[in-house]
Amino acid sequence: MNRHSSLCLGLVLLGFSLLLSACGGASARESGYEWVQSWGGFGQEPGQFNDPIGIAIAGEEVFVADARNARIQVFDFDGRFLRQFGNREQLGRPMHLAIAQGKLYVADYWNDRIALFTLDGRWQGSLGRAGRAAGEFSTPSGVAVDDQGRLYVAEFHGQRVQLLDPQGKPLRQWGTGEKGLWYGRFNYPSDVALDTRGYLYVADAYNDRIQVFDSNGEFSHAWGGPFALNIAGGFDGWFRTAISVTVGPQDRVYVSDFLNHRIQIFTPQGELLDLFGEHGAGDGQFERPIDVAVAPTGELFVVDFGNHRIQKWRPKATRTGH
Amino acid sequence: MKTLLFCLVLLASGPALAAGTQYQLRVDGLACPFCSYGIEKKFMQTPGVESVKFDLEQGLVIVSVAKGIRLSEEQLDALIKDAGFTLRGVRELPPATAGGDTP
Repeated sequence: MNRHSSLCLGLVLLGFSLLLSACGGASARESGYEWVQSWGGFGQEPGQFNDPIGIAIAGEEVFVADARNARIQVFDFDGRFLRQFGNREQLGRPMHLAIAQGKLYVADYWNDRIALFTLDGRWQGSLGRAGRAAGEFSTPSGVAVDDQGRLYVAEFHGQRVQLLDPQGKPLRQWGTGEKGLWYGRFNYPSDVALDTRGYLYVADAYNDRIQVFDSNGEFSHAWGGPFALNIAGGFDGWFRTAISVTVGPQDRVYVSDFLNHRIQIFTPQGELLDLFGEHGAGDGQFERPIDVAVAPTGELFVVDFGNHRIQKWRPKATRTGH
Repeated sequence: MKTLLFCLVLLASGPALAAGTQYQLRVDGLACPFCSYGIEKKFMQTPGVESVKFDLEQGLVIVSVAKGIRLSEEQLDALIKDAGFTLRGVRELPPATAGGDTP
């Protein structure tokens, strides 16, 4: 195929993709997951939320970042409130969370830092400060921690992901600090996750894709719409704002597809395994899901941002209860 | 007693008496909290800004400033641009009429 033919084919594919994007599209597949229960609701009381955003699991406890209430709330797997911690001096707007080596890491969007707590809620200090230099943050939105205690931090306005040592010393970064469409650059990255091989997954939110970097930090692959180049849509495997990424058992990748009001589940290579959710406020419906945590048993806990609640889902086949 | 009553009335009406200008800004793409928080953060770092509220369905940001403070359209545009958005329009509101949900 000569260069002219390739160009024509590319343009036709792009036009077709844009047409599909404009049409939207919805899945008719049956999900392997079923809704179990919801808890929360809008408010300031224990067990209520005002903008729940991040979620993480340790043991049999579910930690939720309750952003506008500037606190972390902890529940059991049946949604029973256990405790809360954090105050407005420690937390501004807590966003996505990570738990590693017995510590809770909180991306604090408002204070431009990563806040650290023990799992029972004792303040352990923070890493970073506001700025654009290496080791500084501009609205950190997501954090992941590897088995050496090193931190990967996604910066929403910083348009980059930074790797820091456990003391906060900068080691490297992905992205240039400027918004970009091409692979290796970001358009408001909102979350990060690591798999068992040390591959880094970035929720490149407004490029509507997941980008993956190998254990050497090199770009590996990306998915989300045609060519993973910022074409949003409602088709299976596409996104309308990929706002969170979580890696679960067997390195399955869970993505909160924010404006499609659904959760999509992929292999590490980006092949779609399952999806569920529809728009609404009823049982099993979402109003802009924003994060997912996966229990070792396979149950999923989804933050239903716009409905100010947590939803629990489970695989249909296992039906394990707690 | 009269003095006490006067003080109580003055105290109760304090916010209304002290209210400044409100700006209603039309901005696209406000559904995500990362976006609205970014706008809120930029404005709350600006001297004289007292509150920022959002009407997500209408795509509106309502900024209240202290009495005597004015923000030019250029300033508003720059703040919205800094937060990664494009300002589509500005309307100045009388202090008592602005509404909006906090997203």
